[in-house]
Amino acid sequence: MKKFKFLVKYGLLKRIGRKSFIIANLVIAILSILIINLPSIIALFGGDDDQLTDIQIEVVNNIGSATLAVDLQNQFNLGLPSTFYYVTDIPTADVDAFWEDEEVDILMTFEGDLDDPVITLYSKFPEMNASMLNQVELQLISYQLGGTYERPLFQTVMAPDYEDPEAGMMVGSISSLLILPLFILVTMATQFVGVDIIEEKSTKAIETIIASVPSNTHFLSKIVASIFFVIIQGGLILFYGLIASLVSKLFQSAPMINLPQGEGSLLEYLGEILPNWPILLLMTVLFIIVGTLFYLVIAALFASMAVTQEDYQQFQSPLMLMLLGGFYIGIFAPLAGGEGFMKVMAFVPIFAPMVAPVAMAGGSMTILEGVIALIALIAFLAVMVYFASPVYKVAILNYDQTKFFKRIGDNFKKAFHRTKK
Amino acid sequence: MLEVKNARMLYGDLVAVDRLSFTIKPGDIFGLLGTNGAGKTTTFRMIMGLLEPTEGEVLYHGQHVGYHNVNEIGYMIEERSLLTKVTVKELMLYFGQLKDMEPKVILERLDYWLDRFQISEYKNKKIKELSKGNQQKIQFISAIINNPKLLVLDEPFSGLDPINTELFVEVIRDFQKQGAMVVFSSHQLDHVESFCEELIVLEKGKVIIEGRIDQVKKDFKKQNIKIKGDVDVEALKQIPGVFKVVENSDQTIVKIENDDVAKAVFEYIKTCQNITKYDVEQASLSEIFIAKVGKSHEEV
Repeated sequence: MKKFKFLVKYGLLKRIGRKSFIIANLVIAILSILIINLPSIIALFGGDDDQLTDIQIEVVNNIGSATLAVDLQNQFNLGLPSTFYYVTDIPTADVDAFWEDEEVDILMTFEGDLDDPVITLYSKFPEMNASMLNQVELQLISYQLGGTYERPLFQTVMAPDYEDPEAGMMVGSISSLLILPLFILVTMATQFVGVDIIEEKSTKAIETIIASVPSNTHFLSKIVASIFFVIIQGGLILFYGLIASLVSKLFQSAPMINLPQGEGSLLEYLGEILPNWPILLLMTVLFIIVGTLFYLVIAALFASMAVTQEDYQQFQSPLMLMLLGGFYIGIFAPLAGGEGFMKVMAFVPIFAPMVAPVAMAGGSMTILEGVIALIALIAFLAVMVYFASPVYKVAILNYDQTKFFKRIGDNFKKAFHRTKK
Repeated sequence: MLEVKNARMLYGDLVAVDRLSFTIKPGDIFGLLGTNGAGKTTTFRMIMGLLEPTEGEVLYHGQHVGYHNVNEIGYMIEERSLLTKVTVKELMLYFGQLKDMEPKVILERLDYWLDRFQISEYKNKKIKELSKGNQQKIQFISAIINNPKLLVLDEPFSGLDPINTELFVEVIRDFQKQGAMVVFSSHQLDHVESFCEELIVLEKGKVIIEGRIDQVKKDFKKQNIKIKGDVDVEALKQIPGVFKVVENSDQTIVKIENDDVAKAVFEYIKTCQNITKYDVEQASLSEIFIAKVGKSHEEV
């Protein structure tokens, strides 16, 4: 146990005590803060010119309504509170001056009388024309009706099976946000395990190490050190995200996440689109832990069969294919509407760690099905460890450099031939 | 005491080591010789507990060799087995702690051995920056840093110059004096002959020579007679029992089948002129090795 603890500590310090780890984390922290606050940063450099916060409208009122400018201002400002419309009366229209005037955005001329007006709209934002004219029309109707226009109360009722496409998109975004760091973390962890083992094996230092500690202890210490690494690195990434969120609050004028109006915190919104998110989160964490263990066992097993660094490149390719397969299924299946396919893949242990959390979040897999997939994954992991451990013991001291499949076959044969005895 | 009892190691149908038995007592230096692929490394791995014999057993002080008594054993493999990206100090701390040693003790002993091997200035250098000879010294230090009671050395002198070889020999002798058991392999048979009391020669996993070196030499009937003076080589070749005559620049070596032939050669020498040397010697270990292993090859 003492040697196991020492090996875990040594393996962990070897990873997080390196300059490369510190530099990589500095880069990740800076990038996280920059990416999350990118719109705000762009806005700082004048990137918010296009955002219509204040709109200046000039009105030439030749239809005899004394309160036209005030009424129009009230009418326009019934909408989005983030945009304010200033409407002022001017005596005559100088169209050429208007086009050159950077302060004024829209010019309207009202000719004729109230019952039969001719309205000309000059706008530097033609995309708003339809909306503006609707508002003007409503105002004129209220004049013609002889009373003040009261905005009716609108209520909408959705069909019970209606799915909000925006919420679906949000779930998709959350899935992508979830799977990407998981993919990066698992890739990093498996790389570390593989490189660590192959470094010891290719230099033959493994002979001295295995002469002092059992191969099982060595095998497990590598995996446990990597799991700790994943936890530390994952925690750091969350911490960078938190710092980035705090920084984004400094940029009050340009909030990054445009949650639907009237909503509260992100968690409240999550609660609306994913009512069972606490269970989902727990299941996701379980899939991450078991899945990372599963991939690490495979990485360690393949690394033990490789002899040189070059050799390891070939041996790690099946693992990378598994990881990439899971990643692409998790990212693209929801977008392509392949829920059925994703559900099937979520039960395949080599893809389950990446696909199952996304499938559950997207609703193509129930929590119960998720639990079944998790149990299947744990069972598969147990079988993997059962087979990997004796093979690792044989392979780690085997310097045979025969072809890929032959070497795998030979190592399994030797492992179980000896085990039987 | 280390006891290898009837150990047999099979890889599928291949017999790597066939019913090997020997005993090493405290203070013994034991040689394990053989051509490449004879089964030496497999035997070392069985002694270290890295391989479990298919049949037979290896006992260290009456117990099976395992991770419970591995801290008393030092092991040096034939090839370099060092992590190259770390410093000498970091490597020793790593390997030493794997033997349950305290870091403070490791560093004290490291300083002593670096000084003794005259490489103290490399303590904080990375392994990859060291010459092959110095890497060999570091590897040797890593095997003895835990003051082992059993020292297993696979080709410890490989790649060393004569001065450093002598340094290694002195250290091994020191361990012998302290009562450690040493088992080693070497292709340099003069080293084996100079400080090894007992040996085993393996060929294709089988023992072809075993016992104390003086007895092995005695049992090997063939002898060499070294002669200086005016002798007729053709006349020597005609003597029954003389199987080879080698002419060197300063002497003639007559290889004879057994002790009795020496008398016949001596009778002939008495008839020759200017004889200044007549010396009957036992065959060297190298000759015995070549003769036995060659015979084994022929038999196959």
